[in-house]
Amino acid sequence: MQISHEEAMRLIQFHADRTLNAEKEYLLTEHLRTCEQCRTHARQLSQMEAVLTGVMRKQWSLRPAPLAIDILTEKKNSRKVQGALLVTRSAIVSLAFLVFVMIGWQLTLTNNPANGTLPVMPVIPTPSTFYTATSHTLQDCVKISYQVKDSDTLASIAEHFSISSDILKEANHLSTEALEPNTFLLIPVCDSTPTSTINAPTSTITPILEPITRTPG
Amino acid sequence: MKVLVPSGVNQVERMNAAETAWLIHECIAGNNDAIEIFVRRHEVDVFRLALSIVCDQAEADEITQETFLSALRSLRSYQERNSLKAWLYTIALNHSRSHLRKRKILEKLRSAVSTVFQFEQSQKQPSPETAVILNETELALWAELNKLDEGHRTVMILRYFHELSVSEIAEILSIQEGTIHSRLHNARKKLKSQLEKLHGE
Repeated sequence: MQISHEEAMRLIQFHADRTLNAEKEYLLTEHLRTCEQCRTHARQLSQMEAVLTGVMRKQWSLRPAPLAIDILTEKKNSRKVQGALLVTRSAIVSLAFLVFVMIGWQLTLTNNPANGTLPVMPVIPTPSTFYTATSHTLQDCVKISYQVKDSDTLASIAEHFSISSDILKEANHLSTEALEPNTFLLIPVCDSTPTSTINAPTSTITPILEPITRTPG
Repeated sequence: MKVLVPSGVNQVERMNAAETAWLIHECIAGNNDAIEIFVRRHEVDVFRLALSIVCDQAEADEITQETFLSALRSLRSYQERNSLKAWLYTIALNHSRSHLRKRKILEKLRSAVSTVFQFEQSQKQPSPETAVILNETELALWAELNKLDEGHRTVMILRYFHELSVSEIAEILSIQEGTIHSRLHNARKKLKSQLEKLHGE
């Protein structure tokens, strides 16, 4: 009886697994005698197997250090040791974790100011750099309305709200210093408005101010 | 006169089975001599299995001890329908795997720590036994074997180093025999093509 080429290839695999019965083994041998290709395949496979077994033996044919029997028998009788060991281990692990976290924390403390990327660091504003150094825009600021009294001047109002009189002028589209009593002014109040920004360059402020509109007074 | 000669193999097998049963009984009873016989008989096999999985001698020693500890503890639950060797191999394999897992976690932790502290990162090689001299072909096969995933690698080791049959491997890993066949087939194909590539060049 003849077997097909594919069947022979399949049988070669089972032969390598040593799971062929005598009948199939015979069929395979018969096929190998006639088929050059299968013969090569089988030869290469067994070559590979021989090399592989050799490598494994070279790497792993070591003898263990003989186990101490008394350790085995002692530990077998006392299981509580394991529990104690577990507690110690978990304590060590948690301690190590704590140390790790602390060190990491310390590192972030010492590293970040050097990089200059700490966002919550208080920025002390200087008049010329205030608007460019922070991300504030005037839109973010709260706008409050203020009714002008008889004694008020533009400068006194500006000083009262700690803003520059130029900003106040721009925000209300005023062309002159003169104020009419009982009219309303819009006063932009920012969180970190500098105490004195009189020298702030108007050129950097003007585009930011544009969206602010005058309230009907 | 006709003498009835019982089949020699059968008799040896039956004696072995009876002896194993006795040995297990004595081990459960706490007979230290029996335990010693039991350990000495299997420790080389268990050690080599552990070594072939974790590739580290000290760790393999540790696994061997753990294996016998848990084996002696649970000897009562051992059922005689399985082979004792396969049962021990299963335990040893489980311990080896948990060691591998531990090592992976440690490696991850180490790499995390080293990225924080900018340490020099030292990678552990898969084969610590650098003293063994391998030729080019052997080296290529060894590298390819270690490149296989854990399932394929374990099956190949059990089949070719420990020379277990497919049914024994299936029992140890509790996987279907068909799966073992296909894994062996795939792994062999990979290794063989590697060898052919080497010879072709």
